[in-house]
Amino acid sequence: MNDVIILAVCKAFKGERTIYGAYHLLQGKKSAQTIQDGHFFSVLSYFGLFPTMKRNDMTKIVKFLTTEGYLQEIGEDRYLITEKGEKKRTLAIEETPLLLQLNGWLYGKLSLVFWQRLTLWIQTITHIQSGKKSFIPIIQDRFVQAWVRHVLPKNHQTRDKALSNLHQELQALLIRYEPQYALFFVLQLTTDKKIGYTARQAAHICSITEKDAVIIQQALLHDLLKEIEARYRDFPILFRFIDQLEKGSGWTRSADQTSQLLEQGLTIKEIATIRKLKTSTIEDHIIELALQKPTFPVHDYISMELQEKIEALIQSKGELVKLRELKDALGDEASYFMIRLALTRRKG
Amino acid sequence: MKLERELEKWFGYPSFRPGQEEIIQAVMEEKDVLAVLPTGMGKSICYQLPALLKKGITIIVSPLLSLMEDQVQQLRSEGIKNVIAINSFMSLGEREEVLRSLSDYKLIYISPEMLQSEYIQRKLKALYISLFVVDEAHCISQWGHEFRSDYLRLEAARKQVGNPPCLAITATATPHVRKDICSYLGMTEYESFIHSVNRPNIAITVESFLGIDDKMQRLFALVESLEGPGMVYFSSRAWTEATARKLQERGMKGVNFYHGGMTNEDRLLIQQQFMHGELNVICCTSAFGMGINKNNIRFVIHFHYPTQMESYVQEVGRAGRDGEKSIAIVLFSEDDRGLARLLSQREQLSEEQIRELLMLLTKETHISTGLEAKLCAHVGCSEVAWNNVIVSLEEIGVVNEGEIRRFSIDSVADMLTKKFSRYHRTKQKQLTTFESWLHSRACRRAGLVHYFEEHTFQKQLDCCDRCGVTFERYCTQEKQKDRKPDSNDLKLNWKIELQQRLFGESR
Repeated sequence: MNDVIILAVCKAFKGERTIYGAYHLLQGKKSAQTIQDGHFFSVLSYFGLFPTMKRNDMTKIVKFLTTEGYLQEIGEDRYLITEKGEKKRTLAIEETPLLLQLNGWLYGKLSLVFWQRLTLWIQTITHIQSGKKSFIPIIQDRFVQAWVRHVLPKNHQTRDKALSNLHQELQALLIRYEPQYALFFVLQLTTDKKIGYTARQAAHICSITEKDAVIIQQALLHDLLKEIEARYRDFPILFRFIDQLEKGSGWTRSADQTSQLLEQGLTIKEIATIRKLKTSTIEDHIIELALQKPTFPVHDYISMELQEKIEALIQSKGELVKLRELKDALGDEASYFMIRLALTRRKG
Repeated sequence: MKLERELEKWFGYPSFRPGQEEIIQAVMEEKDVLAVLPTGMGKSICYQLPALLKKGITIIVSPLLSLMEDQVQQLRSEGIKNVIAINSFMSLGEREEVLRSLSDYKLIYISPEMLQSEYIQRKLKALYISLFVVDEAHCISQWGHEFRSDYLRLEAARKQVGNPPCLAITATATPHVRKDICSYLGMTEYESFIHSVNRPNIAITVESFLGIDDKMQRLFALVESLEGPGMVYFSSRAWTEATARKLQERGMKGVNFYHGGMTNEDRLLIQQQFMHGELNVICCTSAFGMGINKNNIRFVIHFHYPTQMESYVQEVGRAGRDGEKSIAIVLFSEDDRGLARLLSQREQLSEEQIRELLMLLTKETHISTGLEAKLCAHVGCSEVAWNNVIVSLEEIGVVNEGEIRRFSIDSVADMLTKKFSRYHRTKQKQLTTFESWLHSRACRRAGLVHYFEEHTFQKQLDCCDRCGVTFERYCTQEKQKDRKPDSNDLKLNWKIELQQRLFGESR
């Protein structure tokens, strides 16, 4: 499945970014470049899916995909997906439509905290309710532990109620999936009756390939979270596990500082001088801020007319148009920065 | 004070295990104590109980994060809440919070590198530290099997926190290592309690094979007929996974693997499954075991043998902590020799590597973890080897409190090369000693006990393969072959499974 996701990113990049750009995206590198690329090529949903991936792993997988004829090399570290590769990709998605629910950018960080809180909450409450006070928490993170301690109902009756409500909420959520995925989820829960399986163990039982266990788990959690958010009134207990948590991966700290200086009314040049950074870096920050904040005043930097002209150009040249073609067509009228900024305001 | 009554009050045990009470007594009398207590005899009680009974705070230096965390969890689950572990994995905020309220704690577990921090030492100095415990004290000796260079700085740290009485405790230590422990910790007058490494309830056997295939077949047969739970040790992660898979495919239930390459969460789950009897057999590397508090392990098999007797004794010692009969089996084949040499060479550096490392060091001013990782990767140097280099450089003053001074590459390289070749010879000797024990015709138990320079032990039934072992006594009654491959699991229904996990069968 990992190779299919790499194919998907390569397809979206259309050879305009290197496979190491793809690697940074999958690995979840929080640089302005990575985040912008993710947005431009609509692959932010894959952001941070493989946090432990090594650069070398990427090289190996791409090499394999190329010898197998799924990818075609078109320049240094740049690849296009082949027809065979596209077939492989669509087939994988047909077989596992759940993959479409991946949304690493929005839910990557959130799903981890959600999962830790949920599993520890369940372990704790089932133990207490059966009078077992001593157990070794399966989540060692002290903040998660403190949170669970804090939200756990204080008396037996309310705990009983909370547990049975959670049971119902989980049932209502899990019924939306193929039974094998629902089981995959349930088998990983630790209670006083049984220790949870690891994702790999659970996958083994649910006829999911072990290698895919982690990615299926993420897709499942991302989809669960989307549903919980959308229908939060139906899932009061589960919603509590994510309530007040910051959604999304946030922008980089450096962009944050730029944002503050912009708000003080400084220009790009001034900020670059003050922060001892290149103007292009500050421009990167602005793109990042524009991506994150729908209210960001892009028209401080690009006129409405130019934005419309760029949009018209894309319409005429087709969605697959490259950045460079746009720049060539516009000449001195627009900088790369302006074009990129205009692109942040396209309706997906 | 009646110690036994206190033991029952705090931990619920009605009486001490052999060896514990004398050690605790000496610790309570404010003496420096060296204790060698075989695994399974309840080492941790020896400092946990005094810590609770003494005025002031006890510091416990422990080398392994997981070990610390386990003990803290264990104590908390027994209702002893004023205990904390300080290690580098805590976030800054978390650590700050803990350091602000240090005086609330009775037992403070800390990693040796954290204890080096001046800031933390200052914080500790302000408290009344009444006992300084060095757990796994053998880590202080370069001749032991788990040398940790930061253990060498413990004496200074102990002085910094008011020079409290010290308890150095370990499960395995030859006389040589014991001497190192006392001298590096600055213990001149001390009481020592050395218990025999001999564990009469564990039968010791070695089986030889011509090739790897025969050996694998024998492993299958053993795992399928021996009474569990059990552990099988391998020298690499890949082996643990592949073998666990093969056993599963043969229809064995309750088999899984464990190694240092898994995520923390997964490791914890597998550990817990094993503790709760949901797993019966673990295929593992030496990463598994430290801090595993399971009493009823019935067999320990070495599919690959360790590189020295100390490691062997420690790993085998995880069996039979409940005192019931258990068995240790080494499966040996000639092919393993190469592997063992490779393993032991991971700790070595060649002259070229040493020169390269020194060349790179001349360009730096400070030692940091980032630098360590970078240089180790560049030169192809293991953590153990790096530690040895740094310790040597500190000894000759080239490195002082993390700062690197100017030095002549030629003369330092010469010194290090000599040192490493000496080290290499020692390791080599340890390995060949262990291998000759594997091939010896004499009683295994006698060989083992002699290695630790003990001279007497009681003759016993089911001693070892040389003296004779009734193998059947270690086999299980039920026919394992009847087990079908996960047949129950295939029928699992998620709704029922969820219901049962949350509420049990009855509802």
